[in-house]
Amino acid sequence: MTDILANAALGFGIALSWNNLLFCLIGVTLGTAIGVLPGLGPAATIALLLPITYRMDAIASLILLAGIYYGAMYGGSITSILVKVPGEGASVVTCLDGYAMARKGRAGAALGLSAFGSFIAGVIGTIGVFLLGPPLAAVALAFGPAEYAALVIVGLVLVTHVAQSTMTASLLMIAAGLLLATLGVDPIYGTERFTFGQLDLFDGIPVAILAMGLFGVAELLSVASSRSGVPKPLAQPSRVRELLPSREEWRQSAPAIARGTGLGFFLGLLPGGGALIASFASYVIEKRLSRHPEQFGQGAPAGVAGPESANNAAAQAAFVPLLSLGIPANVVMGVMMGGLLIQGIQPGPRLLETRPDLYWAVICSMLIGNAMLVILNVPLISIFVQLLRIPFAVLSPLIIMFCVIGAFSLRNSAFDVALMIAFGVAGWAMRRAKYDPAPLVLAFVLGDILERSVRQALLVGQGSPAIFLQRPISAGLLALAAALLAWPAVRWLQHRSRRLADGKGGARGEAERALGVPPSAPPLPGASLKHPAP
Amino acid sequence: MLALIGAGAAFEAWAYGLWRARSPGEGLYPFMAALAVLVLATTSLVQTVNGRADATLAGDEGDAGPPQWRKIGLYLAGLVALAALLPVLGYWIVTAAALILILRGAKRLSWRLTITVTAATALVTYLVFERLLGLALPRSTLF
Repeated sequence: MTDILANAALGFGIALSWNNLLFCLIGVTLGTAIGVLPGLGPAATIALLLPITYRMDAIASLILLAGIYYGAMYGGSITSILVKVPGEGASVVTCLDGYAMARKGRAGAALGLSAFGSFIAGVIGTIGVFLLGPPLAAVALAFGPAEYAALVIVGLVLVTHVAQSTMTASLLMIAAGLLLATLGVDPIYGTERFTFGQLDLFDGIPVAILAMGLFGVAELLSVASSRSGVPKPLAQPSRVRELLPSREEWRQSAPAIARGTGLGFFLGLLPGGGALIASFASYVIEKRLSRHPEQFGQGAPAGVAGPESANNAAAQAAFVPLLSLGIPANVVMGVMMGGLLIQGIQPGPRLLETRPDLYWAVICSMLIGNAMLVILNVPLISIFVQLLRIPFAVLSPLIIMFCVIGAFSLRNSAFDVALMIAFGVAGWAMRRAKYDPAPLVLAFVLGDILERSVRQALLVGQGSPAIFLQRPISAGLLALAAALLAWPAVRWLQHRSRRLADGKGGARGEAERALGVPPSAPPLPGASLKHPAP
Repeated sequence: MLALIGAGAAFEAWAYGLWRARSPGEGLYPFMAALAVLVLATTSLVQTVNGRADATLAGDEGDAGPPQWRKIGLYLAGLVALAALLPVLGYWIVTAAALILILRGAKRLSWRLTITVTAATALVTYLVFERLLGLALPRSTLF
């Protein structure tokens, strides 16, 4: 206990200096702006700012860069909620219910839940890092390629529960996402795959291009193609009180925030797609535990609060493997690690001994940064909501141009703009055919991790797939995935046998209602899936 | 369409090689994914033909009714022209042309509003991207 207090005193003493407070503020503000703007991501921004940090103090530079990272998590949800354009991969899930809440005139409440949920998760996550970080980091060492592959498979199974179309359509979208992820250079042998000689495709498809196309451009085309050419009018709140979450929305969201925080913190410790998996794992869990799962996808507050809390908690926890083990959890951490190495600082187990000031100052600055973010974002909610009053005929071209610039700025390539537009057309066609693009994007992000992990595991196991069952964590995760996959079929068989035993005929839906079974029980492939009106 | 893509991708992936030296080759993983796309797309097509896949996709109120092909055509023409001409004519000219095509042609806004929105978009994007973030917007290669 004395050690914890001493570390806290050391950390806050450094983090609360005027210089470090200023850089923390700059970092979170810039991060929020980066998160809002589609296409630009924290990794690119941090890479752009690295040369500036050469002349800065190591602690200040890391505080600045860290602020950009978790600030982007806050900002990414804003465009997801207001215009259904995810600013970050982890904000894709927020599009599902956040945008639906905005359509119902509850944009302010959605933004508020996102901001406060992220703040609570950020604070608890940071405290968790403080207290449990170094010991828990050792758990991450137990995860090898086989375990990561199994974890991603669990994630892909969870994706089927996020999707809002039939099981067949969801699986098709997942397969399409996995196939798209193979485009580019083979990760093991370096061979070109599906590039057809196009240089711009050697590095694969940036996820931002895919997300902006399938969500942003497709949404605009969808509205443009409708008879009225505008989305249904939004009910706009007029009083400040109505802009924030109601008591009932808080009541529904509080457990989701708590669960999302725990889930996000644990998954964020794992190098890989922790934040992304955490956000939609949280969504699936909340949908499963909800008494009204049919409301998910229609504007359920827990569908916003849970995933946003999870991805922010994961963002805090991602610093643990970087600082304690020297293992970057994702691309952003990798770039930050580069910055540390340039400053002559070696992240890893000895960092706590050699530079305890840096370690604890960065952790403490995350608490301060989260407070700054909620102070910055909450008063802006009313301004963000006013953006929805702009006529859609004026707003849509602005969104398109921002997407175009965002797409171009990734690699200074007009090809990326063309690619985004092509995905936009594909996304529009998918919507008309009742295919949900969310599973495709999520599978796309996980696909690369899955392939690398599977192939590395098979290399370790000398070509034998038995390695996945020989390692206990991997075997356990695969068993979980099998159970999650089989569960809907088991429930369907149970309902069917009860219906036959009762001798009641009629539609499946009538039988479910009679038995008190939630109507969201996933159907078998091919069965229809209609969500009753809330 | 997806079934055709899956079939083509599976054929291409097969050519990359499925196995090499006791480990998966470059083509195994994409081959499996392509095969899954082919099978599932075919299944989905059969279900659609049989009328069993009639899911309602949440939030698709914009898709109600037959599409307005003229509007879509103008929108797409604007976007395709934007992507094709961006490296040639640069950001400013192409943006103005695309916005005029979309706002005036597809959305039938007045000239005053069209020009106002176009000018405002140019100003905002310039301030945010070039001044604030230091990102160079595409320049023309002709002049």
